[in-house]
Amino acid sequence: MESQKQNFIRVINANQGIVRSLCKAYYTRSEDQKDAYQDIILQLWKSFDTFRGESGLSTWIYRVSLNTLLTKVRNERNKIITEPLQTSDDITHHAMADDDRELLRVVLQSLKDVDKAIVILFLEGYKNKEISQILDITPTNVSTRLNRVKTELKTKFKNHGYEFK
Amino acid sequence: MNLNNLKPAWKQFVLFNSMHATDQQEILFIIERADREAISRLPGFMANIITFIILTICFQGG
Repeated sequence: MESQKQNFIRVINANQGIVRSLCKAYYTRSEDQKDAYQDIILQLWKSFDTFRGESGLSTWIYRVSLNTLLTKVRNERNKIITEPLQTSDDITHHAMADDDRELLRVVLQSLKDVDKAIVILFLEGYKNKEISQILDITPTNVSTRLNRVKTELKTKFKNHGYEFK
Repeated sequence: MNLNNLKPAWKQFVLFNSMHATDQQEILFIIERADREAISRLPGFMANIITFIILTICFQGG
C-alpha cells in the first residue's frame, strides 16, 4: 500500500502541470483552485487501482481531471466565475504576458464548461475521437462543438484584433 | 489566427504550472483522508446491514 502511495505521488509529481493548469482554467480564485486540485487528486487516487495503462498516463489524468471539474462546476452552477480569468499570483500573470498566452487566457475564459474541456484537449493535440472517449460524448458532438467554438471565437475576437480560422 | 496557434501557449502554460513544487504531505493527507472516511463509514454500513437482517427475520412469513 505504501509503495502504491509513493507510486501515486510520483505520478502526480510528473503530471502536476496538467492538473494545476486545468484547475486554473476552470477557477480564478486560488482557494477554488486548491479545492478543485484536492478533489482531482482524490478522484485520481480512487481510480489509480483501476488504471491499467490502456490509455496513456496523461490521457487518464486528463480524463479523470476534466470529468471531476465538469461535475464540480455543474454542482456549483451558481458559483461559476464570470469575471475574467486571472491567475492568482503575480508571477503567473507576468509569465502570461505574452500575446498568445494572453489570448489563450481570454479564449478559455470565454468558453462554456464542456467546450472549454474540448478546446483544452484539442490544444493538447488529441483527435476528435480521443476527445469523445475522454469526455464520454460522441465524436459528432465534439466536431460540432469545436466548429461552433471556432465560429464563435471568430466573431467574438474579430473586433479585438484577433481573427480565428 | 488559428486555434492551432494556441497549442504552444497551452504547452507553456502546462510547463509553467509543472514547476510548482508538489507538497507530498498534502497529497498524502488528501488520499489518507479518503481512506479514513471509508473506514469511518464502515461501522454505519455494518449497523445498517444488521438492522436489515433483523427486520427481515422479524417480519418474514405472513
